[in-house]
Amino acid sequence: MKKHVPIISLFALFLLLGACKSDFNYFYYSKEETELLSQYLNLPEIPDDYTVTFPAHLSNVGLFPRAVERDKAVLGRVIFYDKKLSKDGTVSCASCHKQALAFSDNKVFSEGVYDRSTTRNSFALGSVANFSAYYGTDLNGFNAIRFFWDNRAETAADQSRGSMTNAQEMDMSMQEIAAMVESQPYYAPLFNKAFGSPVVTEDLVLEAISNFVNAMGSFQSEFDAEANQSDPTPDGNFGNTVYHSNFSGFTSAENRGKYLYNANCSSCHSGNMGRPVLQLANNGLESNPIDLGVGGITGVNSEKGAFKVPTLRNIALTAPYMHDGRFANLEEVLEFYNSGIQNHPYLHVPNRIQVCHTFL
Amino acid sequence: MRPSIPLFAAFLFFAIGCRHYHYSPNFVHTPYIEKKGDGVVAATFGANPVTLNGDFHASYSPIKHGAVMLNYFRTRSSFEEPNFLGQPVYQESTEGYFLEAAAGGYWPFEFGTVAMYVGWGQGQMRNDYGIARISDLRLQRFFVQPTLTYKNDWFRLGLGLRLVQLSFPSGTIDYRIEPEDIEVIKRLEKDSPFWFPELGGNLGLHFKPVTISAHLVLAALRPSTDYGFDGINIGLGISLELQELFKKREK
Repeated sequence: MKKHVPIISLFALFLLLGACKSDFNYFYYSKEETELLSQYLNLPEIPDDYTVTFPAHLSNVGLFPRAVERDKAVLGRVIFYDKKLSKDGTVSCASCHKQALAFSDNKVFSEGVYDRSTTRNSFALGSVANFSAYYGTDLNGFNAIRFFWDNRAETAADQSRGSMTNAQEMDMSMQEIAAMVESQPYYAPLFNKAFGSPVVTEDLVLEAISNFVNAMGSFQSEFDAEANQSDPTPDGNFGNTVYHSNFSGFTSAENRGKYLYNANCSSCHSGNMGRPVLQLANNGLESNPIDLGVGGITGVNSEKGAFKVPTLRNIALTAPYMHDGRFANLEEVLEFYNSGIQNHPYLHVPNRIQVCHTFL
Repeated sequence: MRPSIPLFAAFLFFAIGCRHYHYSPNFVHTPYIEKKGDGVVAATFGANPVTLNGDFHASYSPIKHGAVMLNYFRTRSSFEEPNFLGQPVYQESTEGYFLEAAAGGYWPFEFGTVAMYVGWGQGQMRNDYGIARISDLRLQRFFVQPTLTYKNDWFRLGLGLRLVQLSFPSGTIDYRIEPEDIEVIKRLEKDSPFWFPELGGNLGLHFKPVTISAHLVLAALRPSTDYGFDGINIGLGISLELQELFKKREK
């Protein structure tokens, strides 16, 4: 036995060494950058991956998100949450677009600088990724998804500029924003990473915010999981049949709600929960609207009283509802569509609609 | 033999396709030692489709049937990463070193010598992905190596099978490097340690006390792109057999 001891020891050593696992240290910012940033910000050591990936059921019907650049999104996120970029230093983009609420606000009208009240309900940005590839085109084009309830902003950058410079919101000029950003030491390394230079311009600020906003989306819902699992059409493609067939993981009430949603809501909001089908619609909130919505911007008669059509992802988180936050909960919304639609010459919805609350 | 041609072509494709390495094999040294007091020093210069390397070896038998060896290996490659127009944008490189020591026994017989060495070493592989983005991995290798050597007045022939346990205990990685390169490193971190054999051989012409020899080592690895491992090394070396050198001097 003794003569085998060295061999056994050798194998034991071999196995012992084999037990050593790797322990790698990943870093993103240099030591100097980390020291500087950590004085002011609480950023993760490794920035989050802001890449948006659509679930199979959406990508297979040809939908895709706009590419997001991580360094720009990181910078955009810091700007998004920075209250210094408002006139009185009390408000940031995130004050009215709260992440926990799908980047919406739970108030009818949000509060801007000096406690000023905004004039419309904060639009949920939580599903910008749904349509990020489809904004920035002409107003009337098929792909013309736009921003704000009245569709007055063509791009995420325009929208950001609109909120930052709105007297009821952040009340800054873009020159003031750029100067404030430049004066804060923590932005230099972030601009360096994002744009290869610490120089701040208004356009770069907006580009960074746009990248962050374009990354806002969530595609891990039960609906997505079920739609991904559904059988594609016989030619191997996902088609609308996926959304019209019952999902095996849904309860019968949920499937019934989905059926009603598809029959009554999806022609505006989309059956696949991707980009909305319509860019604007008059849903009959008022027969003689005071807030003219899109028509107030374009001056087109048929668009007076029409508003941007939102996607309904995370709809349960974004109460109150409608452009003026008039409905406190989904029950009120559905009851409105069931019995409260007002006549209007340019109505986009039928006067009578079935409820699909369980599904929503 | 025909199936080996596409296999070799595939190997070359992977070897050329992957330009950053986290491991590159040094030569499998087969010390031509037959008795107490024998010793060898050698230098070998190698290349593969991507890297150039230098390999230094010393071995000595302080006791009958017992020998020690020391190996130092250095490898480097550099290249310019082109942009989508094919224009060079920035310089990238892979460089590393490895130092190892081994001890073992040898037993001469009628047609040559068989030997068994056990060794351990450490090193570092540093990849520069351009614009100051670095991955720096410390590697550790434990090996058991049976060898068979034959020598006569004019020739030297050595074969060795190095059974390797390779691990990467620590590393520092700039997360800004390309996602696909990060994926390789993460895979490597997750799957370490690695166990694989390396087959090496050398064939030399001997001109007392010097030997000029050709070396080849092949590592039986999964496709190199999985972990950024280099699987082949070919080289030309010169070695000096110390017992012959000192005998000459005594004469």
